[in-house]
Amino acid sequence: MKILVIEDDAQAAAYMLKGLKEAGHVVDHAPDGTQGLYLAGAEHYDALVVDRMLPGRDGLSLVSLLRAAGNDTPVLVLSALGSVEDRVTGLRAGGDDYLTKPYAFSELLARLESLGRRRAAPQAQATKLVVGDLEMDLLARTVKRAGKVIDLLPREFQLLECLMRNAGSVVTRTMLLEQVWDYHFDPQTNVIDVHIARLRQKVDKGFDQALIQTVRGAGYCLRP
Amino acid sequence: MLTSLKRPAGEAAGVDLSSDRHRHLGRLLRTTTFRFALIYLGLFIGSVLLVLWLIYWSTAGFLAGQADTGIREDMQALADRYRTGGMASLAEAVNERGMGNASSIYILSAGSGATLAGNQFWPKGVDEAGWANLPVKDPSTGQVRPGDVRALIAVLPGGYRVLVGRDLGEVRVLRERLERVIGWSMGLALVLGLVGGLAMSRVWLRRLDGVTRTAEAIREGMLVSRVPLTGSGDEFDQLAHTLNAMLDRIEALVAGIRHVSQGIAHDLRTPLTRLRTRLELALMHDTVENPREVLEAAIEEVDHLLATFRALLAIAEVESGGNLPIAPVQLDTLALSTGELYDAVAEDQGITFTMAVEATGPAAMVQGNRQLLGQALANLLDNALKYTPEGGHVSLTVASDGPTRVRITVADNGPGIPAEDRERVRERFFRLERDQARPGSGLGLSLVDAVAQRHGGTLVLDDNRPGLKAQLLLPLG
Repeated sequence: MKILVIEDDAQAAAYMLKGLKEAGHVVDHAPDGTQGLYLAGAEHYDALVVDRMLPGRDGLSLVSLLRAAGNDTPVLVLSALGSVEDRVTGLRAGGDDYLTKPYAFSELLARLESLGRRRAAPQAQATKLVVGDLEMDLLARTVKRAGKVIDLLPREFQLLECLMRNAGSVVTRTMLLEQVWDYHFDPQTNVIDVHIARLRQKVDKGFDQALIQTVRGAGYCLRP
Repeated sequence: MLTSLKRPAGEAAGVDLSSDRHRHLGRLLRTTTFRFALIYLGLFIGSVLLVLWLIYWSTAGFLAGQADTGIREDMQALADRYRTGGMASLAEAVNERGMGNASSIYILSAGSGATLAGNQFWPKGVDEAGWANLPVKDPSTGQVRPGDVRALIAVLPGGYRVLVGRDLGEVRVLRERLERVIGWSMGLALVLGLVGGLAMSRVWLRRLDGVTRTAEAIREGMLVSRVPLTGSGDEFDQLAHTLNAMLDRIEALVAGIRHVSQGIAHDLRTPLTRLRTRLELALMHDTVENPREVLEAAIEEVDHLLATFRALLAIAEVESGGNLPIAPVQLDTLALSTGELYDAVAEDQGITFTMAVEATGPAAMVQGNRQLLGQALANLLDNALKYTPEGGHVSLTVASDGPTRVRITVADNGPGIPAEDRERVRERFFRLERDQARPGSGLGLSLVDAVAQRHGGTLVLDDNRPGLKAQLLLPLG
C-alpha cells in the first residue's frame, strides 16, 4: 500500500514510517497540514494517516477539504483527544477511522490495512466470502467449511464475517469490538478472546488446518 | 513629645475618614440602583406633572366657562325684560340684579357714558359690544386687580349700553393656590426621590458587599468561605444560596482533583517503577536470558497503565460536563448485547449467567450516550464476573422503577462489598483490602457512578445476601 502520513511530531512520524516500511508499505511524510493537503491532492495514496492537531492547517479541516474536492482516499485520524465527542466530530469531518494516542503500532497497522483493503476490493455488494475451504453466504446467512455446514449464532456470524473480510490481515480486539458490537471502549476482561475461542470451536475444531490464528500482541488473523 | 506625635496622626485619620466618606458617596452615586432610582424619579415627576396640569387646566377652564355661561344667561334675561317692558323695565331689572350681589356687576348706561342703573359706575374706555376683561378695585383693600372681571357688553338702540360682569378673583386665587401646590409637591418628590434612591442603593450595596467579600476571600484561596444569608428568603438570599451551592460544588471538585492527583501519584508510580526496572534489566543482556520476554512484559505493563489513564480521562470527561453526544438509547437492547458479550465470559469461568429484560420500548428508553451507558454496564458485569467464584451466579435485569425510571440490576453471589465501604468504592482508586492482590484499577465503579450522575440517575450498591447487587437507576427520556 502507498500511505501518506501527515504528522508534525518528527519522532512519532519517524517511528511510524519505519514501522510501516518494515510492514512492506510505501510511505510518504508531510510535517504540516499545508504540505499534507498538497501531497494528498497531487499523488495517489491508498490511505492517509492524519494527525488532528497540525501546524498550518488542522487535521479535520484538511480532511473536510479533501472530501469537498471529491478525494475519497480512506483517512485514519489520529488524535490525542480521545473523548466520545471528539471521536464523533472526527468521523463526521470525513475520517474513516479514528485512533486515539497513545496507540499500539499493531493497532494502527491493522486499521490502515483494513481501510486500504476496503477500498481496493469493495465487497459491500459481494454475496459470498471465501477463504480457503471456508465459505460464507451473506444472503442465506450460512457458513460452510469443506462443504460441511457450520451453525453459528448471529454474533458469531458477524465476528467471522469481519475476520473473513479482512482475511490475511490482522484484526485487533478493539476493531472487532467496534465492528461487531459497536462499542468504542475497552472492557477490562478478555471478552473478545472468549468469543474467538467459541468461534474456533465451531470453525477450526476437527480440521487439520486452523484458520483463525492469534497474532501475539496484536489480535487475530484469518489465513488459509 | 508623645502628644505632639499623636495629633498629626489623629488629623490624618480624620482626613482619611472624610475622604472615605466621599468615596463612599461616590460609590453610592455610581451604583446601578441609584441610577435606576434617578430614572424612576424622572418618570415619576414627569407623570405627576402631567396629571396635575390636567387637573389644573380642567378646573380653571371649567370655572371660567361656568362664569361665561352665567353672564350669557343674565344678558339673555335682561334682553327679554327690555323686549317686553322697554328701557324702564330694563333699568329696573339691572338694579334688581345688582342689589346685594357683590361678585356680579350689572350696569346700564346712556350713550353719553352716564350710568343709569346698576351696582357700579360704567368703566372708562369700554364702548364696544362683546366680551372684555376689566380691572377691578377690591372694595376692602382698595387694590386694583387687572383683568379679574369678565364682562359682556351689549349696545341697545339709542346708544344705551348694558354690561353684565363677574368678579373672577376667587377663580384666580384658586388657580394660584393650585400652582403653588404643584410647585411644592414637585420639590418634595424630588428630594424624597433622591434620598430614597440613595438609601436604596446603600441597602443594595450592603447586600452585594457580602458577595464581593466572599468572592475576594475565595480568590485569596479561602475556598471554605460562603456568602452570608439574611434568612429573609428574598432574591439576594436566593442568589447567595445559589452561589453557595456553586461554591460547594467547586470545593468538592477541587477536593476531587486533589484526591485524584494523589491517587495518580500513588497508583501510577508503582507500575512505572516496575516498568523501569524491567527495561533496565532488558538492557543487561548478560543477566537476562530472553530480553524479548521482558519487553513484552513491559508492553503489557504500559498497556495496563494506559488503560488506567484512559479510564481516568473518561471519568474526567463525564464529570466535566462537556457536550457529549446525547441521543435516545434503548437500554433493553443495549443490555441484551452487552449481556451477550459477557455471557461467553461467564460460561468460560463456570458462572451461571441469567438475563431478564422486563422493561422494553419506551419503558426502557433514556436520553443519553450509548457508549458511556454501554461502558457502565460492561464495568458492572466485569466486576461481577471478576469477583464471583466458579459455580457462582450473576444476573442482569432491566425493569421499570416506577413510571419515570428504569432500573438495570447486576447481581452476583460473590463476596460483595462490606456496608461501610459501599460509598468509598465510588471514589477513584479505592480498592477493598482483600482485592489488592487482584488486577484492577479501582476506577470501574467510579466511572459507573459518574455516568449515572451525568444521566441524572444514581448507582445504588446493595447487599445481595450474599454478594453485591448493583442497581443503575436512570430517568426515562
